[in-house]
Amino acid sequence: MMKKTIAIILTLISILTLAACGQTATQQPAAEQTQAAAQQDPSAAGKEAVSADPKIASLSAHLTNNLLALGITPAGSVLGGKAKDFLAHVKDRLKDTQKLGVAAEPDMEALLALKPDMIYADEAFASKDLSKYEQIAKTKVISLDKGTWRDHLLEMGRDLNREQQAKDFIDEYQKQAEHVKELIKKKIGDGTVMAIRVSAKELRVFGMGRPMGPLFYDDLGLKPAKGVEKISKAYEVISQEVLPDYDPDAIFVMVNVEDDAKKVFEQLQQNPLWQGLKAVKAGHVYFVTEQPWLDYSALGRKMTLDEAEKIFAK
Amino acid sequence: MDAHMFDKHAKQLTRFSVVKVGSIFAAASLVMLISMFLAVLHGAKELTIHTVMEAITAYDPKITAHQIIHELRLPRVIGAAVIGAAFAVAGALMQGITRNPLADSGILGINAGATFVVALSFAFFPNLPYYSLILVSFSGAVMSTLLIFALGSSTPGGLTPVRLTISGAVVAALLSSLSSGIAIYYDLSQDLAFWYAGGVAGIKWLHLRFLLPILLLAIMWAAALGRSVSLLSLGEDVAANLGMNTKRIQITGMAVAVILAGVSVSAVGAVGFIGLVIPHIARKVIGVDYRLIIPLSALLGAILLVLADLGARTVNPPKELAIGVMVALVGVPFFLYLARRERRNL
Amino acid sequence: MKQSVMPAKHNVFVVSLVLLVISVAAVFFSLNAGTIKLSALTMLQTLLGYGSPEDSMVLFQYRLPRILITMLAGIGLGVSGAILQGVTRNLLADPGILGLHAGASFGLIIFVTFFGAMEGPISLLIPLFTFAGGVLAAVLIVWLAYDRHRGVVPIRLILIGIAVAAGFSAVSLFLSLRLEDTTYTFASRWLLGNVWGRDWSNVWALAPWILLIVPYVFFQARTLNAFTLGDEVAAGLGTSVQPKRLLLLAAAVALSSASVAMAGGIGFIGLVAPHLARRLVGPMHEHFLLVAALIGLVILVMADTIGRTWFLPSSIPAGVIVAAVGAPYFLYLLTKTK
Repeated sequence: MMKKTIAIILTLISILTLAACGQTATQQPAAEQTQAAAQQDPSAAGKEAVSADPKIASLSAHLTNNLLALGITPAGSVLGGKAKDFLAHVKDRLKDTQKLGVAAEPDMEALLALKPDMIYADEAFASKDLSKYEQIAKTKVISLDKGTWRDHLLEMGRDLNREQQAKDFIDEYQKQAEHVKELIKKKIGDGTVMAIRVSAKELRVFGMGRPMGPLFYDDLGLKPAKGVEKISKAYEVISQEVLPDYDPDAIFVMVNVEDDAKKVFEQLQQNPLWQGLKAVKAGHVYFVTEQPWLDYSALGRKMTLDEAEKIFAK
Repeated sequence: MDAHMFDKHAKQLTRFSVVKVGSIFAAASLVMLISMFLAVLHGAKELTIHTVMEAITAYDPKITAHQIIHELRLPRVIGAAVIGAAFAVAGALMQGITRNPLADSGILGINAGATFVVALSFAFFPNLPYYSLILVSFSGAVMSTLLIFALGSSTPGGLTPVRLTISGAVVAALLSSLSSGIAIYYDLSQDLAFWYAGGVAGIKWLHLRFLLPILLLAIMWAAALGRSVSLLSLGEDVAANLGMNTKRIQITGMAVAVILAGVSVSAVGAVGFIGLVIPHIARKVIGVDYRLIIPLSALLGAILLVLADLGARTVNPPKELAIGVMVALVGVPFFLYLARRERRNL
Repeated sequence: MKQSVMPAKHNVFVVSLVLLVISVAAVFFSLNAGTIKLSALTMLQTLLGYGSPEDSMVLFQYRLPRILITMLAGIGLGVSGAILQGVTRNLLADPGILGLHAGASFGLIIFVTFFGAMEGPISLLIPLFTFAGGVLAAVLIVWLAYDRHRGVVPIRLILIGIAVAAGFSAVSLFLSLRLEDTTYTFASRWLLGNVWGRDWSNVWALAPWILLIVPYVFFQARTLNAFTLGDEVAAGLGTSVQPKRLLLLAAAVALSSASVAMAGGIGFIGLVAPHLARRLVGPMHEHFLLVAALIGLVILVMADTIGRTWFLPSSIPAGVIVAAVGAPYFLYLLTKTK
């Protein structure tokens, strides 16, 4: 009796867990897609030249946002972010874009059904399946680790006959960056800055690498706090103990939304070590959100500038 | 009668004189204090012995170095000590009660139960406050323990050590597989991985106010059970012959072990191996009497976790390694040695 | 152990035939599951070589290799479990529980730590690394469980296996926390049993292991029978106990490591498949090995199909599905056996 009950309960737990996951899954694309695919002319994939208005599939959320910056809405894109959806800050621009699964494992069949003229892929994810992509359409691989977002945007602009848009976008960004630079200078003068990210388990300092480094220390010409310049990567996990060593004049704080981070940060704020920081004493603590601040794409950087402008225009 | 019989057995149990036992405990306490002092002294930020002494004796809230010691290192080191002690005592209890030399909260699936429920709450109630999370993970630990014991004891042959270990391993496999499934589906992988790998960095006075009384009481309770556990470890028949209610002791002992392990897991994540390794060392040092094994395990467990934490943050400063991994690096070789040595008893 | 004594020959035949039909049905079901829906007719046409280029691409390049991998890995895991259960004389043995998967995972983590990623032809080395890891785990387990007087005592093998698995997992966790984000994601999914091999090259990497070793094991059915009766009986029947045991153990390690290399750390198939098989056709290995292989195939093909289609736009590793069904069954078994 006992055993049976246990066996049944266990099975139920397992099934419920699975079902709970399955429930929220959207199952819409399948049917529509095949229909859409059927209406397209069935010419052989992968051999077409890039037409004036090509149908583009993007296998990286960052490249998707570069396309948006060029004024192109990709026909299909992999998801980004945590909610099984496109990144929140560009979601409304991708209403008609087909979802192609998660970046780590793009849905090959959805990609094939889309029949794109061209595929953009991020080198970090693409290597294994590259030959399969190439059978579907001409595939351009971009390494986000090489060059800045400007280089990626220009390269894509050249491919898609939109070089001028790319240049205009960059010029406009440059102008805005100068403006924001002035705004920030008015607030914090020549002071040093640093950006940290608080999660439930660790404290990270953003370094000189993307996404934060190039924005702060190149585009906005800010001075990194002592020690930040030694972190060449995106970030480094540090101990709270050494936080006073950086002692910046202004601090940007990103608090993770999805876990216990808020509590942890509240505790940090109670801590005399935190209260002793120059930036905290002077009231130069600025809160930033994960998106678009972490989005190292043309559009992401532009939207980040918008956010920064809002923060410092006050 | 009962007491007399026990003393007879106890004479067989204890190989050492009072003086020797006393000096062993004194030495262990001294080592614990020294390691705690070292742990307070060393950290991501270099501080001198003088500053540390001053921060403890004459705390000045305006000096940064004093703040570091008072706000970060002291709670962390005290937390590591009490949680290390808790894991070790939980392991000692489980080993004594189940007469299974391989019993440990990690191997018995208690840690996996806590992680599973934490994964569920991350996915469905992402903004739970700290205390609820501790409660949630504790309830997970309780659930998986109940499950394992229900499974183990509903079998015709009863709860043999082998059965317990196997059902524990399978429940652990099932629950960690499901938690990872949830983590993948809800994109929690990294969060959960860090939670799972464990760390005492986050422990503040705020948490200690909650953790210390519970864990210290449970450890004392465990020590009070020492005599019964000793008898039980001689075999259920012996214990029953001495007029002991073996079932009641087993249930109480497991309850205390689950409190210790469950609360600790919820505070620092799944740190395995302490509960496995330490009681064996204690047994080797002081014999098979659980009245002595349990308190000695507490001291040795405290030393191990304090030193593991010290290692975790000094190996590659200013970065900190996951403490569970540090303990595993010590625990795994020992475990293999143990498995080899204990093979005759399995 | 249950003694349903010598089932009639035709019983074995009927069961095998029914299972074969179920396997074919499962494979067809899986072939037709995916984002692109194909009608049965289109599928048949395409399979016969008369489909459109797109349909052929979907079937022959995306779906078929993956299904073949799950078929082969399912067979490998099922047979591996059957060997382990026979050799250890314990019906609860399984390559996952015994720590072989943990060893194989360790091999994979070492691989990704040194080679960084799974790019191109280098990925064909993965089965070798997982095999090396599996062998390492097996050697450790046998060494630790070996007793000069009593040899390798079966029950000890399982306890030590659980211990060794815990050890290897800890070291793997240590190494995986140091990986880059993308590699870490790959490795953690792999550990859960994510069918990773999807190309024909992966099929070719896995097929020889399964196609060579499984027949060998079938030929050893009688030896396995003798083992099941106990070492003394086996020795009495003229089977040289220890060398044969080690050889069969090596076969089990090879089968599970190779399967795991391409399909990820999938547990419980090695346990459930032989068990169901034994219930269907009785305890003689010459009868149930084939049935166990087919059951393993059906379970893995179905689990992977469900994992990749029910949870869109995400996908759940097959290992999670198998564990969700297999573990409760295991625990149920645990409460039933003596």
